[in-house]
Amino acid sequence: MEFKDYYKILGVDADASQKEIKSAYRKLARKYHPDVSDESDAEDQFKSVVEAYEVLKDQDKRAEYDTLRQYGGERFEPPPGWQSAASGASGGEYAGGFSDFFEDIFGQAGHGSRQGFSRQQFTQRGEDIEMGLSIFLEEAYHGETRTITYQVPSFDERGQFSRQAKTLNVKIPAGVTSGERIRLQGQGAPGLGEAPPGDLYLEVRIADHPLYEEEGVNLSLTLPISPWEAALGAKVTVPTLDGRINLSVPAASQSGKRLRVKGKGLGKAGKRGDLFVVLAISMPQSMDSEESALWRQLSEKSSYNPRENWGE
Amino acid sequence: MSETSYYLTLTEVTRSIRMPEQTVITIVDHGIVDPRGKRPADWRFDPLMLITIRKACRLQHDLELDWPGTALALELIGQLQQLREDNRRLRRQLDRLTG
Repeated sequence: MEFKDYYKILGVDADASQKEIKSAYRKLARKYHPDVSDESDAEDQFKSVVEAYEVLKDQDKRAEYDTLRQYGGERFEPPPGWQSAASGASGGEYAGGFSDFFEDIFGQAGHGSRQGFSRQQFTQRGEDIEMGLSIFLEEAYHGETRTITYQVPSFDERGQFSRQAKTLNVKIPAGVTSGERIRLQGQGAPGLGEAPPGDLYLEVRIADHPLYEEEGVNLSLTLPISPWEAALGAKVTVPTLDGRINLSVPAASQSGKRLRVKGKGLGKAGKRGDLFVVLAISMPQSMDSEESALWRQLSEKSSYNPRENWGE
Repeated sequence: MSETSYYLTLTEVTRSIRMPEQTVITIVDHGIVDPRGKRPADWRFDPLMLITIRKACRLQHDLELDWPGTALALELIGQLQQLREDNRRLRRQLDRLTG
């Protein structure tokens, strides 16, 4: 087993004071806390930091660890007959499940709070399970039934831990938005003893759509229009998630202008958001001589100066 | 088909996070979440609030924060996430406008 250098993890010297250890932990915990950090390995880094602090903040555990550290090298096995006097852990939710290295020295703790209790002695509501549910925008808009499969932790009569696959049909409510949680009552981990099961929470993630952008409950669609459509106004056919509609582009429209199509967004019934059509004036990539002549004619006739406000 | 439900009571939240009721009341008092209903017995939390309460408990414990500090941290994290999301969306929109 790999020897874990807790001092190195916290970035402190082996003779660091409790104050230095605490301060190093606080700094690293802020940096790597999975609720704060967006680094991809934040959770693993944070676990290591919590584990190191769990040992080094406790005088007894630290003394035991220092003793073993003398044997430490790249590889590590606890001495035969090793038994910790300072076992147990009080880590937070993310800290659950310390490394094998930790458990070899200080025994199973942290996530082991339910282990060692038989079902007859102990009842506890099952844990909630959280998982992501990736769906297409069309599914979010109309609402769909999806079959999901997930792992449920369970304990047998002897308290042995295992995971079992569970399959469920889930009704996605129409109008659901990104980040929303769907709660499925009683579909989490089973309870211990007579206690009820936990719930399942699905975090909705809507995949990027080739046409539409989500803006909370509203959607936006960028509509390319020609310069003459922008100048003169036009009737344009626009796709919505409910099919095509006819939209009037007013005369003298600017690029970036937002036209609202009511009730074609996401959100629950009665509180549906809107679809915003964003105009984007698109210049033709090439022009023939006749077209060029028309533009030239316009430039000679028109007194419009878009840089009027810049002054002389 | 499994039933989806939209709101949790104070008891359900307390059971789910395995924390004393007073912790949830303190979190509500600090405005970290704002359940519907006037009295604690009438409070209705939506599932997203439960996630926020869990996050608040983790931050408070792991970073050794007090509750006003936790509330501020969550607010700033929320703003940061919103800005990142807006930024991503606006960049995509800009690409479409100039594309």
